[in-house]
Amino acid sequence: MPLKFEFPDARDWRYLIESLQTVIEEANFIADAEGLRLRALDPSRIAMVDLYMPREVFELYEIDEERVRIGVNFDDLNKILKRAKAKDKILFQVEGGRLRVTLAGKAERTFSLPLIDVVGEELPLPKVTFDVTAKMVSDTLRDALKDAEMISDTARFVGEEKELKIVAKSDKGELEARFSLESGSLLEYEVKQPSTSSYSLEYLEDIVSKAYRISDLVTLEFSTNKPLSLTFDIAGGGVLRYFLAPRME
Amino acid sequence: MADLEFSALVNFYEKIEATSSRLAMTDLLVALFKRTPPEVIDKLVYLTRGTLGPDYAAPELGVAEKLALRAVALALGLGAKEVEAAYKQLGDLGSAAEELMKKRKPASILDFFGGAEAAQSGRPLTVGEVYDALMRIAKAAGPGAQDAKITTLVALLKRAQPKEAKYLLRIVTGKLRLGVADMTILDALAVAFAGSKSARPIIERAYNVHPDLGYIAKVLAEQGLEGVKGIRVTVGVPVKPMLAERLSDPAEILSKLGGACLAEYKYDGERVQAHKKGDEVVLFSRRLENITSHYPDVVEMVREHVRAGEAILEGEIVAINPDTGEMLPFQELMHRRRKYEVEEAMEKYPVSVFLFDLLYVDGESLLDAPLPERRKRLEEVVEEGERFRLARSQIVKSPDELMRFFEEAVAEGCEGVMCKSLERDSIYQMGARGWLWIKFKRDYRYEMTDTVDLVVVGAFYGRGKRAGTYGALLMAAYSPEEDVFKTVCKVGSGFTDEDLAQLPKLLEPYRIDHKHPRVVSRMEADVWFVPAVVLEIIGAEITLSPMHTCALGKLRPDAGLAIRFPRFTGRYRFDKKPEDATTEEELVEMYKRQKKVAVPKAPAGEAA
Repeated sequence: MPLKFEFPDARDWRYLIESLQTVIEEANFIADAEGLRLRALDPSRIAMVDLYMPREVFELYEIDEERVRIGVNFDDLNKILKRAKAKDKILFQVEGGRLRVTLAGKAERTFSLPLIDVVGEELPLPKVTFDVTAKMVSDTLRDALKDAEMISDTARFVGEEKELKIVAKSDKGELEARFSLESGSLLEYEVKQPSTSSYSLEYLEDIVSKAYRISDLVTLEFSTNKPLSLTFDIAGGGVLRYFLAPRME
Repeated sequence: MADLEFSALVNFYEKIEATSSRLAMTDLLVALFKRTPPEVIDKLVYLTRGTLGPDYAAPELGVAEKLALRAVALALGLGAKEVEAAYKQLGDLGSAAEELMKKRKPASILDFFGGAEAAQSGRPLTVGEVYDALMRIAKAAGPGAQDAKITTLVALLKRAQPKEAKYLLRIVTGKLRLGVADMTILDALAVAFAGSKSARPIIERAYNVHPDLGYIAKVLAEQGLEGVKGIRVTVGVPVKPMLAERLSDPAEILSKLGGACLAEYKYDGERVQAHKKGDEVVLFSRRLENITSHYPDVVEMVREHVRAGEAILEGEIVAINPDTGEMLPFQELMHRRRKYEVEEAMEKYPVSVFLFDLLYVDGESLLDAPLPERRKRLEEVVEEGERFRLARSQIVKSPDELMRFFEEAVAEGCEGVMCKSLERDSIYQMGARGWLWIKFKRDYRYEMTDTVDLVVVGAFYGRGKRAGTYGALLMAAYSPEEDVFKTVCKVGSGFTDEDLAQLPKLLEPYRIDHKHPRVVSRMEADVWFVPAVVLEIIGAEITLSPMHTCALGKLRPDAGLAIRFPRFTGRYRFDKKPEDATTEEELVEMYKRQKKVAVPKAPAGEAA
């Protein structure tokens, strides 16, 4: 068996796959001795997702080959994951061109689906230095984005010295959400240089409304007219990170 | 291969558009050329001129606006209506695409990968790539060509930044108008690759011999000034034509040319540079466009009548009336400027070619040879035929002589005459307007507004379609004082097939085998008639001519009156006796009272 790994809660995987789905429908997981990775661009090349799950986050991680590529369609995989009950463990096995998924709770059920051939590009990470870094409760961000989406399809992120603002404007009205260390809405805040940048809410709201279930905390980074980075830490050392291209104005 | 990012070129375009100073433009170009790898400098030069190559050989780029609009909509994922609305508002598809892109399309995450390690599809566009893609667009042909053009354009636009898209679209629709003159590019090339503008004459000479700025730039960038010095006249590559100054006083012309000159008919046609290499013949217009396809008959004539393996000749293509051999005005040649049915146009609008220069023959460049030698060599190389002849010319030494030659030329349908220096320095000055050649043209012409009634006194046999009938009739006015008929014109136009069919029958009763004693003519007709039949004639103008006898010597010594471009109106004046025809005196009056109209400056496409 080339690859085998087990995770304590199947539902976390469901959230994870749903989070990836906000960017892409199918992609390759790459497994090697260090763990599992996935890096992909959405088809319009506006968003990028970068997932890293080190072997430590798994209860079991065995790999016989140097590198195993697992090409999956997330929709197909999620149909299986939706069948998981609370506290079900999940075991993935790759063999003979198929992915076997075992949900183990009261009963043990094994699904099997064919691996697909996803043409993947080897992608680097965007080269950006971020001038604004803010850490906050992911649910707070989710709420602010939901508010903004009522007004516009674009949100402007304004990183001032003491305060982070998310602003949405249109003929329908205006929204301004403010966050600061002082008010307690930010847990960490660092501004090298005041910055302003706008991002598509279509993507942003979608991503955060799924990924907030991965982690209670989110680290948000940006610079003027540069991509936005959203980092969700996965318990045990994994990282789910998104990059979103700015809307030039 | 080394290349330059397209965005660098686009940044330069923006700066160019922002400046109106030629010096600043030159400086910008110099900076651009210096940072451009030699491998793509030709492509960069072509794009900057909004073309894909030198004008004489570049495939046409002009993608229809509609097509480009569809590509924009596809690339941006917008509806065609939205793109159209922006286009209507901004009046330029390039600007519309730029605005839409800025507004609607968030930047791609790929833009932030930077440099070489970026994923393939996210790589920034390069000059070489853009050029190659545009070339594919230009060359796409046959069924599915439209789709291929759109697909290629969409792929380019998808990778383009808003600014890049703006210029891409302008180039592809043939609307890039940076206002960078070829001369400015030459200046910048001189500074960028030879250190200073002092190298400009050498570069310009190379450009005149080989007017392909991309090629010149590449040779300069790769081999320096030495390489450029080695550029020679090449069969198949048009040379920048020599141009003429213009004067309207014969005495001044002669004094400028040293007292004597070669006067040549300046035919009212299309100037052509014919390149022959074996059986292969290419024709270039004065503006160096390839016009080979318009004149398959001229190609055939060059093959047949030029006795040289390789040669570059210059001449004038003139439309003629096939039945009479008369020259027709320049406008008639327009029928040849078409892509389809050239064969048919060739039959209906035949041409003659009048050669006047030889620039190259069998490995030898004659560019620096004086005119008498070039003319002599031309005479040796050209085997004259009915439709392929040397331009009518004459060495003139006095203003009177020149004036007579000029009048004869005008009466025969020419625009005037070209007066060319015969001195030792009378080289072929490529691309330059100088005093070695002076055109003698009228600043004005007259307009004949009334018809005249003239008597048929003679006829010329027809040719071609008119074989068996008359090709042209010799027409005369009446002189009551002398009771004679004096010739005014030879008319071959305006006759219907029916007219032509019945003319011999109509004239038969009056046919005689010698000139009628009451007819005064300097021309020898094929057939003579008793003055009897009167026809209504109209023409372009009444001019002076040494060929006709009407009012001979009355207005100017040794010149009579003639009708230029005469045609039969269709009205037979059987009601008039020959003595009722328009009189000599009336014609003199008409000549004097003619409406004077300015001769428009020659359009760029016309001969020098």
